[in-house]
Order: sequence, then structure tokens, then C-alpha cells
Amino acid sequence: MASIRNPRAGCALHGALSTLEAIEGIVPIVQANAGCAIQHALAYRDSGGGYIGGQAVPAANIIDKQVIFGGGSRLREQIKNTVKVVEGRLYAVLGSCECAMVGDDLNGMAREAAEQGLPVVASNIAGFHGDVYRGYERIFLDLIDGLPTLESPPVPQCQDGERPLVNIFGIVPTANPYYKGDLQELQRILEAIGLRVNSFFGPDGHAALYSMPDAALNLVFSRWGEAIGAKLEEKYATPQLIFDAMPLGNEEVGLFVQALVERLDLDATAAERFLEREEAWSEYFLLGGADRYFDDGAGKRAVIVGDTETVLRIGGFLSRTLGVDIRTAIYTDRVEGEEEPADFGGAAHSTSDGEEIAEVLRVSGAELIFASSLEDAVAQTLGVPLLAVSHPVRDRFIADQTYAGLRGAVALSADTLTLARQGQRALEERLVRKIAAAGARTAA
Amino acid sequence: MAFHEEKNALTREKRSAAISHYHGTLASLIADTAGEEIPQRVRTFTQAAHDDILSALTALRGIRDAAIVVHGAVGCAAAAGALARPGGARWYSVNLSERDSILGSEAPLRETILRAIAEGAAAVFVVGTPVVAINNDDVNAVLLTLEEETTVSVLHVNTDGFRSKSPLSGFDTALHALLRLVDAPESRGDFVNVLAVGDNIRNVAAIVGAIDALGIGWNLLPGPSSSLENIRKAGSARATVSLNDDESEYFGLGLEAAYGTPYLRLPAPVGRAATRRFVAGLAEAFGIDDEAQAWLRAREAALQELLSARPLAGKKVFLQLDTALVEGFSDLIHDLGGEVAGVALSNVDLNNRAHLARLEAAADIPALVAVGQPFEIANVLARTPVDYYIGPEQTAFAARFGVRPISLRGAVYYGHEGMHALAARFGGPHPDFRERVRRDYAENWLKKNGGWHVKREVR
Repeated sequence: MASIRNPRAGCALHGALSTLEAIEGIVPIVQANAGCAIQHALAYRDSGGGYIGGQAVPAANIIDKQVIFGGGSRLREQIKNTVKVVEGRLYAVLGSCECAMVGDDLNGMAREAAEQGLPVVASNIAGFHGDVYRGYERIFLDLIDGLPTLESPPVPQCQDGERPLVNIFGIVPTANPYYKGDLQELQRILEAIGLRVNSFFGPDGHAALYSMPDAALNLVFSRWGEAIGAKLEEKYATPQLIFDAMPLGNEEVGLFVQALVERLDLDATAAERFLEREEAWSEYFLLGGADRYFDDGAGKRAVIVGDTETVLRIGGFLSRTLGVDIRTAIYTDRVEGEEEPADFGGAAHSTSDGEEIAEVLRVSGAELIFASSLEDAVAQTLGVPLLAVSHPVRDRFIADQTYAGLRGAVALSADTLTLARQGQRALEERLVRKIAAAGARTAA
Repeated sequence: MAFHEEKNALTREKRSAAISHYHGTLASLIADTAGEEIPQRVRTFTQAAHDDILSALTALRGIRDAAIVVHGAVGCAAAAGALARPGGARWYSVNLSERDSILGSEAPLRETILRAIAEGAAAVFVVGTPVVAINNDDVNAVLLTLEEETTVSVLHVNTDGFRSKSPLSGFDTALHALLRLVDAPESRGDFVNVLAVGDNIRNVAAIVGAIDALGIGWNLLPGPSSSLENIRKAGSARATVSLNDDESEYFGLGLEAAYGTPYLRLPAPVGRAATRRFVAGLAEAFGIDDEAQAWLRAREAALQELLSARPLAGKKVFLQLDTALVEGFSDLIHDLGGEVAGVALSNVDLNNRAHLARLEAAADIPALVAVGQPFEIANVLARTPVDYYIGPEQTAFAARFGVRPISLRGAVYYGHEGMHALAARFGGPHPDFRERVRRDYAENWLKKNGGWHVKREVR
């Protein structure tokens, strides 16, 4: 693999850790040297955190003795004492590069604890297995294998058990900085058309894991959920419906809802009524937006940087609905040698390298940038306003903000109008300074 | 042979018998660390902790014309975004795959170093990680080959993440590499080296502002916006001073041993008394005692209103700090009318234990040695009446116990400016956060003896 300038995300261990931290009730136990979990904590410290995270994560902090002689007994005592110190409903042991190289038997240790009635599972993950997306995929695959070996906790009886249940996969916590709000919005739409939803990352995360096999359908919103959906299909015969990205905007949400209505035989009239009401609210919120859109110059040139799901969702909406001219799309999670899935009529690149991305931005002629906070510096140098839509997002504390579904479309439209105005203002200020400088030269 | 000429820096455990765990009282900690050896204890439960790699990255991040090459998987450089200084070193990950961990990582390392040089790095620091250490990849062979191809200095920072339990070892390892860049002095300059390794920018600005005001020239290294030139000329300084000697004494001692540059052992400039001693020590080295005393009098006069207000009267404060800072913070709390109710120190060893002796007046208070490990602090806060908890960052957990957290992340606490700024943090409204923070720890743990999970090290 090629070197990376200014790495933007962590490794597979960090992806698994982000995933577990986002599930209420789960406590990760990291079998790694000190530093691995803190690298993750520092990389994501401004992301809002999860059930247990940061420097509170139980971690074995392996030392040279355990590298030489194996870390099994250290892990045994760590598991035994974690359940005594940290409140949790499920404990998940995560491996690391060094424990993979040393050959620590994580599954054996987890099984030993489970035989004593402790809710412990293990994942033989290692940082060098890949990026955070691989980590998300891997931990879910291991949970699907591991959970049936444990005694299932009592799951609250559902009041509306006749409503079909769907699982949501493919949205990687913190790799999508807006995942909380995005998933809540998807859940809102799905519940409105008559479904129950397991999004896993919310107040009921732990219980959702155990009801995962009960779903009528698995909804997959990026390639990183496909292997998970396939495994559930193989294991529980649950079919999956695969989308390239979460729906964003009335048009996309309409198609999405229609697909579900047909697939699960839902009440089409009720779904249509819901969509009409939502559309009316969207129009109400954005009243006056069209005037401003045309006043500030429609169809601004833009560059978008993010993982595939983000670029397809946000880039698609900007191009299709707001008429933003996407000159370049940069995908940060593509596998080497793969083709880019869409170019929006401009150019497309695959790279997560900070210098390569900066170079593309410098020559792009963009008037708006939709990217991460890592692109802030080059955006400032170019005098082009930036909206942070992909990881990492610094400075902004993200709670329920969303760029998905229907409410996300309103938010993105409003933020894009704001961005365009900021760009206009910055340009005017630069021109005033230029005129003043020219005036001073003339006077001299 | 000067110790920077050795192949590698020793770990803090070997160099100064550092301990990474203690649970007891301040009096027992002072007694237990008084001898030639300090008994090591081992936790059987731990939370995430910093390692030597993160400390090395922290030490090198400010050097604006250098490149940091993290020789590991991409996650070993995940903290780059959080640690990077504006305008500081450029960061690269060699981005090792599983295949590299089997077949060796020399080729991708070489390629990454050459890329960093091509993109303008004036020096390259190759920071080691567990994968290459376990694999025993021959980094030095790569560096030796490159010596014939480039004039750019490429230095190995031999960290591995598991050899030491003290993250401070990583500062030493990075400073060991920096010492190799220092030029032999031809004459002595009229400036002081100011060592700022992990200190935040506001603290550094407060102190260099004060040194400026005293009319002393300074050479900041390897702090924010420093350069290789700052490092090269360090040997010719009139003296060297650390802002936090826990972190940077290795460089000061190394310069003294190699080039005779005096290392002034001055306290971290926190609080009135330590700031006074810091300024007086510098003034003595530069022969400006009278000017410094006049400057101190003026600055301390401006503190009188704050001190007489006693904003911490009747309040108890728990401190989680580097050992080098605890003495100054303790004085500051007392000056503001408060009382230190407990301490958690990041590292205690034969070199820094003297800082503890000055705290003996409060000998019965709980004392921990821990890097991170908030569960141990939670155990103390659950059973000790405390009004404020001062910690480095991620301090919210303390609110569960009705304690007001004061996070030092990005805060200024050095010098007189720091006294004003910290005192202001104790004021203001005190909303109740007890129900608004995570409740991570089991009630059983909070009631247990805080040393329940600890055993003596078996060698």
C-alpha cells in the first residue's frame, strides 16, 4: 500500500472500536500495547463519543513480557476485572497488530469467560487488516458469529410486533461524522411508513444486536454493509436490499420508500401521505431560498471529498437538486485499482492522501468545497468556503445534525446557501482590497 | 561517552526507576520512593494509556521544516490530526499492510522517506511502532543506504509502544534523536534554550512573553514553530531551561554533558512561588537580578487583588498532573485560599521525587501514580470530599461525584497570566452535571479499596 500524507482516519482496530463505542451497553476490551486505543481516542475525541470511550476504554496495555511470552494470561485477568469495574451488558475483546503477530488466543479467552456466564465475545482484528471501514465490517461479522454463543438477555416485548423489522448496515460511526443524526432521520422515515428499525447506534443498541436475526429485511447503505448483509442472509435467510448511499432529498427518499413499500407490502397510501406532508414542510422551510440561490449565482463550481457513501449521497443531491457543478469528486475509501462510481460530469479521483487532495483542490477552480476539516488549510489559502461533510470534522460538535433523508436535505440546502453567500462575501472583500491597493498606487 | 551517543535512550524504568502505579497517601508515596529502588506494582485491570510513540510524536510535531514518518499501520498515525501543530511538521504514514508485516517493511519505508524529502522536508524522523519492532525490520539498514543518496538528515526514533510503561520514555527517545542534530558550539550565545515539548501553545506564549519582557533572548525547541536551526544552535546557548522537566530534562542533560551548556533545574513556572524561582534562576544566569526583581514586584502587585479575594477559600481540590507541575499547582491552590485534597501523578522516579517532598504538609491526602486510568480517580472521588478536580483532559467523569471538573486542555496556567486565567475558571455558575455524564463504573468498584486490582511485579 502507498504511503499517506496527513492520514485522515485510523485502522481496522479503530473502526471496530468506533463501532462498539457507538452501541449503548457494549464495553470494548482492547488487547494491544498502550497507545492503540489512545490514538483512536485522539483521532475521534471531538466526535461526541459513545457509551464508553476515550481514555476510559479498558485496554490491556501489553508490555514486552507479553510480546515475548504471549498475552493470554494478561487478557484473562483483564477480562475478569473489566466486568467488575466497568458497567456493561456485553464485553467485546478486540485484537491488534501485535497480538495478531504474537498469536494471542482471543477466542479461547472469550470462550473461557462465556463458559462462566460472562457476556464476552472476541474479534481477531488487527490494525494492518485495513482501514476503519474494514473494522466496521469485521466487528459486525464477528458479533453475528459470537452473539448466538451467549445467553440472550431478555429483550423487551414489542408493542407493535406485527410491524416488520429492518436492520440498517453500512453507516460507519464517526467515519460518517453525522451518523447519529443520519440514522435517526432514516429511522424516523422508516417508522413513519410502518416499520420497526434496528439502527444499532442509539439508546437501544445492545437490545438491537440480539434482535438482529428477527429482521424481515436488511437495508445496506454502502459497500461496507454488503458482507454483513450476505452473512445474515446465509445464516438466517434474511434478504438484503442494497443501496449505494442513504437517500437524501424528496426525490431519493420517494424512490427509497417506494422500494420498501413494494418489497415489504406496506401501506402505499399512508406512505404517500407522509411524503406529501414532508415535502410541504421542506418547501416551507426553504421559502425564499430560491431567490437567494439565484441572487448569489446558481450552479457554483464545487469539489467534494469523502468516502463513497458520502460523495454519492451529498454530491448527488448537490448536483441533481441544487445544480451545483461538481467539478471533481474525490473518494477516500476506494480499494486500489477500483474505478470511481460517479463523476457527476466532472473528474473523479480515488485517494486519501492529504497532499494529493490538496493538489486537486488547488487546480480545481472550485467556488465551494464539501470536504473534511483536513482541507481547511488549503481552502483558506484559496479563499474558498468549506463545509465539513466528511471525517474528520473539527471544532463543530455534532449531535443530531443530519445530511440524510428529508430533514438532511433541508439542512444541506440551507448550509449550501450559507456557504455560497460566504464565498460571495469573501470575494467582494478581496476585490475591495484590490481596488483600494490600486487606488493607492494611482494616488502615489 | 555522552549518553546521546548511545544507540538508544534508556526507558524511564531503567534510567530513573520510574513507577507507573501507586495507590496510597502522599506520605506513604514519599516514604516508598525514598530509597535507591522504587518497588514496582502491576495493575490487573487497565484503561487506555498513552505510550512512548505518542510522546515522541508530540515532541516532534512542532518542527516546521521536518517530516514525521510513522513506520507502522495507518492507525499508528491516527492521532496526526489531533496532535499536528499549525505550521508544524508534515506527517506521513508508511501505511503498512498485513503483507508488509510478514515480508518486511523496508521498501515502503524507503519510498515514504524519499517522498517526504521530495516534498521539502529538511529532516525526517522515522518513528517506530510495534509491528516493525516485533518483526525486527532493519530500519537502520534503510537509513544507512539513504545516507549515500541524500544530504537530508534521516533519524530513527526507536519507539515500539511496549518496552516502557512510562510514556515519558518516548520524549527521551525523540530528544535522543534531536540531540544528534545539535552542532558543536564555537562560542556561547546570549540566549537561553527554552525546552517546550508537550506544553500547549498558550503556555508557551505566556512564558516566552515573560522572558521577552525580561530582555533575555530565547531559543524555543522543539516547541511550536521551531525549526531545525533552533535545534542545531542549541549547544551554543548560555543556558537551557525546561518548562516541564518531566518531559524534557533528557535534552537539557544531554546538552550539558556533550557541550557544557548549563541546564538550569528550575521549577515549572506555575503559581507565584515557582514563577518567582523560575524568573530568578534565569535572571541569575544572565546577570539581570535587579531588573528581574523589579519586574517580579510589578507583576506580583497586580496579583494582590486576586490573592486577597481568596476565590478558593474553604474549597478542596484534587490534582491530576505531571509530577513536575504538582508543586506549583499546590502553591497556587493555597494562594487562592484552597486546599489540595488528593493527587494523581503521571510518573514518579528517582529524578522527580524531590517535587513531592515540598508537599509534605498535606501528607495524609490520597496519592496515585497513573497515566490516565480515570477509574482509579473515580474511586478516590467517590469516597473523598472534593469540590474541584483539575486534570489534563476528558475530565467530565468527575462530575458524577458532584465535583466540578477543570480541564487543562489548551488552558494557560504558566506564569502570572496563568494564575489569573486559572482563578477565573473557579468562578462562574456551577450547573449540576451529575446526571449528564456517563456512569461508566460499577458501584461495587467505587466502594472497593482502590488498590484491589494491583499486584507486586514478579521479575
